[in-house]
Amino acid sequence: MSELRLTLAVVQVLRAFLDDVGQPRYGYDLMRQTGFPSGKLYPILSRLHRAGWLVRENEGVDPAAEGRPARVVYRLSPDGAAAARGELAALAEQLRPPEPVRPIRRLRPQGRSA
Amino acid sequence: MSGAAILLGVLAGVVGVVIGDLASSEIRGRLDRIPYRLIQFAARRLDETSRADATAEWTAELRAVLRQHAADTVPLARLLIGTRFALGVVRAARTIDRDLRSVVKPPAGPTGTGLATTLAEVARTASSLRSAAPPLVTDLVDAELARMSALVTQLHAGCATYSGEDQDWLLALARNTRTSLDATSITTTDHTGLRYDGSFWASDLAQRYLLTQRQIIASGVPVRRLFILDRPELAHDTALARLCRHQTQLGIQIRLLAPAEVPPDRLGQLTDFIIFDHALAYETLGPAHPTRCTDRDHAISTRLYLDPTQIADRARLFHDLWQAATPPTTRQHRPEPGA
Repeated sequence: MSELRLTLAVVQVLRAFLDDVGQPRYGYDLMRQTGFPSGKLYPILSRLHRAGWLVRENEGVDPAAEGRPARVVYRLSPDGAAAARGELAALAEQLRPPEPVRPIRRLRPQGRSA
Repeated sequence: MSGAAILLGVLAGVVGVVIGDLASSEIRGRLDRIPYRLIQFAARRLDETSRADATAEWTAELRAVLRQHAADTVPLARLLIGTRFALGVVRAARTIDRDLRSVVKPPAGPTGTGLATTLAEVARTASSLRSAAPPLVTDLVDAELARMSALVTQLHAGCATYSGEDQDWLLALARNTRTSLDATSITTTDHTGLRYDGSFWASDLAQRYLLTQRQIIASGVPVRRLFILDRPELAHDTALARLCRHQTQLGIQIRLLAPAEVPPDRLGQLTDFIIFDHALAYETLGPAHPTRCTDRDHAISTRLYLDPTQIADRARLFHDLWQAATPPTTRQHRPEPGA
């Protein structure tokens, strides 16, 4: 599996897959889940697939019986799932807001000198 | 108004409604095809290897999109939804193609960064494939990579051997020949033992091999083929004569060498070989004791020689045999025996 430049859009797609790792996804379902148009989603799927993060396969249906062509489904590869979790955790850590600033507790009461 | 006029008016109205309905169906049908045409246009932006898969995927997805909106949307809205999806795909195809081009760079030459980039890309893609593909596919990739590695190692040592006949070697060498191609071809007879067996030249490999030779001849590379006859009567065989005419028409220089014309000191050295650019010799070896006449068409091993001594030996052999041979036109005016 190769490295991948993680943009915010890529992270959003990975997040959609991590909701249910074993669940294969259609492109159109991912479009609706992420709100991305096809022009934005498919290049991301292509990059993730080429990098080995996603597995791409035909759904197992008989087109003649279903009356429609078989669709392509995507799912996270085992390595892709582990990497996605790791990357999202790292990103969440980076984006975690800092602790609120607490007032410095004075060691000595005001108005007194050593 | 007369009854006839009313009837005519009604008929005209009915015809008008029918024509209008037909026109409407025609227009609707054409409009429905627009998104599919856009998807085909999008797929043409991709390289040939991924075009069919992309078309199938996006077409099936478009069908799903339209199906979901079929019940609750008017046709015009469905057109807009489909077109929006398809236009996005056109944009996606451009981006995907750009991504691929930025990753896969053509090799710059036999050495240098281009080759290194290609090898790095092969390693990266193979590693990526390993995580996603079934074991059968990864085994195939491993075997092919091992084969490529063995070929390079053996060529570096001066000689590479392959069990059987490697079509890829033959075609790749012919396609990349730059200065000359000299080949010997030992003839075989058919099951009667009397007539020439030209089955190899009717095979798919031979057709592609000849097509490649025609292309390099067009670019100025001389191609010579020496048919070494295993029986003297084949010099007048009609099938062989037809084959010679065909290859001559392609621009190949042909000569025939009858058994009696083989120089005595070369009698034990007759094999099928090809010398490419006087830089590499390709030699096929058949069974030592063929059980059938056509067995010699099936090579049991193929060797590539890069060693200059080996190449020079074969170049001298080819020269001697070529000098002893004669063009087919000088001998094929005789009728075929028994014809």
